[in-house]
Amino acid sequence: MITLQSSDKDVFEIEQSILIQSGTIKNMVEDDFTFIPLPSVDTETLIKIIEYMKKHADKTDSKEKNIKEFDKDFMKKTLNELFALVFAANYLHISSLLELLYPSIADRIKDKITEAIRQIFSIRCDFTPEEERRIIMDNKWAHEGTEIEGTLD
Amino acid sequence: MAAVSPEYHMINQRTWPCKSDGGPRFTAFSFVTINDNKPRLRHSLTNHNYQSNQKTQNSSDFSQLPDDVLLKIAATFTLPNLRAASQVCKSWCDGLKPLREAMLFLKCGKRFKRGRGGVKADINKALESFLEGAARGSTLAMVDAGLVYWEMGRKEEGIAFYRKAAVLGDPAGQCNLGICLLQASPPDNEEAIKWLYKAAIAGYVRAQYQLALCLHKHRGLSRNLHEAVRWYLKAAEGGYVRAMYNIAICYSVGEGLVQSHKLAKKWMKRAADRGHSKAQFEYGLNLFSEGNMTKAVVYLELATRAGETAADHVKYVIFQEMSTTCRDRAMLLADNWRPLPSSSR
Repeated sequence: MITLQSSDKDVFEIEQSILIQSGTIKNMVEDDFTFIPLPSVDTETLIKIIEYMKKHADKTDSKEKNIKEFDKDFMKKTLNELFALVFAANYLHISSLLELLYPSIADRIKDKITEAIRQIFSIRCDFTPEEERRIIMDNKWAHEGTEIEGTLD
Repeated sequence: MAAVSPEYHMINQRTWPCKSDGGPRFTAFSFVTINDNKPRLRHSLTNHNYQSNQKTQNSSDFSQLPDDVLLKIAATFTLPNLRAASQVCKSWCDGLKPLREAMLFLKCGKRFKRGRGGVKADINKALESFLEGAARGSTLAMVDAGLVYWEMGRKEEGIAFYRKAAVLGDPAGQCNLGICLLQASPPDNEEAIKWLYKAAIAGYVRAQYQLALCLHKHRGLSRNLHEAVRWYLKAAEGGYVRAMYNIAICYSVGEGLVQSHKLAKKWMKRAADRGHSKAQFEYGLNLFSEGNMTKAVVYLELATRAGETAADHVKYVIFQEMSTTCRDRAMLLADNWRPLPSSSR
């Protein structure tokens, strides 16, 4: 059993077999740590991470479909939650979770104009009008068609 | 409280969906830890408590996304998406610079591959360019590098690049990786299906078809058959011509779904109109059985020209019953026929 401590100082005891999905934790366990403080992961995020790892720890065939359903639902989160998760999963090196998170966040950026992206992510534009103009000019790429290249035949 | 199992136990009542504009979020949960030496902790965190516990690094300032995370999120972006994202704010613009450079290499590589834009086709230079693009994190370049490696017969290297793209969420990379794994010796069906599935649910039509094929081959498992047919249908609706043919066959024999000659005919025609030679043959036969001779002959002629020798025999039989005028008309129609684009309805 390994003890994790969130940034809010809440502690969780979890089986080692579940936690080794995190590369970071796996390394620490191999160095014989049993108490692992995670100052950059808050409680709510840590709970979600643990929930994810528990679900993915048991990957028998019969559970495959359940896991897929779980993943789909797991990604139905607010941007704030996804943000916290991506930081945490990045720090903890949980590659399967990152594989889910990157496209989820990417989907919220794709196929939108810049202003829409700013609104969705609540980002203020910090370019001066001139800087903005210059960026557009500097990056005036020719449009040669942006097809995602074909696949094997 | 009574002894609990040695796992953490969480009672979690959440109401969904939560608004991303920061509207009210109700998260009430309690958790219990078990350790004989440490005191038990029990918290009820309501909305306002949670807010006050938030750390600044998690205050969701997306402009502060670290560069490496931003690059991974944007790895699958096409040019227009990358440009829009680059203009959001300064830190995103700076962070995405490697990907913008990757796009230039990608463009270069495509030119070398096809011999366009004033450059001679040079597969090695194309590969070099794609590798530069891949090194800067673009999955589009990774997939293209993989394709070139595969064409050169350097399959292991090709697969490695598809895998790089696949883990970053690129559906083309996932699809290609899945196909490669199916063709490997020995084939790795389990992993192949995993990747094909990811690409399929992302809406990548070719992956939907390949997944259906894969599941279809594992006959005897009724679950697989239904799922296979479901994916054929999705791929067919997405415009994949071979899937249209397969779904037509499924409908005509009632495999994996309820038999329907009407739907079989509809899909067979769609496939035929988009150039599928076997479908042209089947549809031609169908028209013949309905008594529509001229049209039947047109499709049978098209099938013959595409290499379906059986179609030629049937066509010959029908010809005997037709006047010269009708034969000529049918041939003219076949000469002027053009396949519909697969995306059209």
